[in-house]
Amino acid sequence: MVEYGLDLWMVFYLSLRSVILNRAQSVRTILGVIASQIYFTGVQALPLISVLGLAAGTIVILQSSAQLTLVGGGEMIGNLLVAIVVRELGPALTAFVVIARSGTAVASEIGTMKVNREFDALQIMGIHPLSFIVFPRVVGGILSVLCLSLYFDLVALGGGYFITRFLREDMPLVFYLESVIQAIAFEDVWLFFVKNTFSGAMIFVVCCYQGMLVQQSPHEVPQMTTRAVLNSMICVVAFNLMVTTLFYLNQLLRLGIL
Amino acid sequence: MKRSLKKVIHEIEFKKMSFAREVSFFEDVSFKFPMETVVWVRGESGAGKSTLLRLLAGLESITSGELLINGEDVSEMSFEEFLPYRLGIGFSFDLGGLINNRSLFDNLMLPILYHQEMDYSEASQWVLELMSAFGVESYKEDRPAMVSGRIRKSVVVMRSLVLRPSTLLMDEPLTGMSREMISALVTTISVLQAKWGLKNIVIATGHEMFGDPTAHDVVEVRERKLIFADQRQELREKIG
Repeated sequence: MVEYGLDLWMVFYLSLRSVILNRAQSVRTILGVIASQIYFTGVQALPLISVLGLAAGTIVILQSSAQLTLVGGGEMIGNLLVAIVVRELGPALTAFVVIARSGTAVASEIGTMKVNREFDALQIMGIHPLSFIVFPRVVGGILSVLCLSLYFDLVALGGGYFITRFLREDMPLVFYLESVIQAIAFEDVWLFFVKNTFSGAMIFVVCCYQGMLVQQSPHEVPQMTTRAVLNSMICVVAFNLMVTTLFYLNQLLRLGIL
Repeated sequence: MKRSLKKVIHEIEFKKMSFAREVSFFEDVSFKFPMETVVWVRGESGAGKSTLLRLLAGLESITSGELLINGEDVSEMSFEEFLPYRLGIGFSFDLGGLINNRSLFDNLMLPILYHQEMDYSEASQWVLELMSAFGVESYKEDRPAMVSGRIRKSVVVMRSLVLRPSTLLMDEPLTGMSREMISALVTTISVLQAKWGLKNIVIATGHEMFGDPTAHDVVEVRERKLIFADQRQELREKIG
């Protein structure tokens, strides 16, 4: 596991290094690859994220408002939503969607490129494969995951509220908005950036790395794609769990409970 | 457009070079390549002709010994250090090697635009000129998977020429090419030699070479060594 982690770090480091050291490349070409990665990962995932966000937001708002009303804590709806949707569901569900759509695509695309000698072809053209293939995908992936996660939060909190209004009419918009806005703290902003930046980087580094492990035969491509999905899911879940645990331990320390 | 990093290659030499992967391909080879000529690398199937070209192009690293280019040992160089030499080398694969998610035209434009060797209009004019010479301009918007193997092969060969290299390494360039395409290749090589400073050509092929057989230096890959073959002597023996 340590060796695997080191390999992933080397892929990330070498791709960054190749971009910095390559005096010959045109920035426009790299920006073009980043833009197409953002289009495939970010823009094309919007419908799926919209559906998931709406469903998750509606369910969480309906369930939590019903339970909170029972115990007389209706004004806590904002805190609960921020904790569940912004801190946990947003980063996790966005990452899963990106792994399922783009992680698999990237791993199989790179695997096929290896089989078809496209990596050799890039090298022979004086194009570093890590700078041309890996770096733009990682950067495009990070930006896409950040934007998708923000979009998920907005759809879940906004769209979820409006669907809830059809079912329950006892929650005024002003009350709901005030409750949510007051609940968002500075920690939520950095938690959002830490979780989503890491998820984006991890998904695309793992998927690129697994794709690059394909040697010569096409039958290795689906095998490596499956491993890419599994490994990136494990990495994302483990990291989110670790950050959440540290976040709550820190809160408990600040409250003097620990 | 910016100043080219390209370095012209004047000298290629192996010193006590060995190369092995699962099996040993070359052992203790010391060999100085003839320059400013066409070198025909020949040998039996699996002897290591393609591997030799891959070593010269920096796609494989020698296991031991030295690979000297212009007197400089390049065997330990990083990608970035070797880049100026690489930009002066045109390499054509025997099989595959086109970027599948780009059109044939974009495949040929990619190295030029990436390295900013020409501006867009000059590059597209040069690429269209090449495609037209090889008779494939009508396929320029197609992706590699949409065209026949013959057209793919010709684009791979063309791509080795687009950066106007000083050294050309070609692996089985004639296999799968039509007579017209071969004629276009010979013409383009002559133009590059006359106008754009193409000096060294190394062609690995199991087939007979095109043109005058006595006009090439012949190097044989045999028993993990590189050996000069006396072409004129062989021809005399053939004639009797």
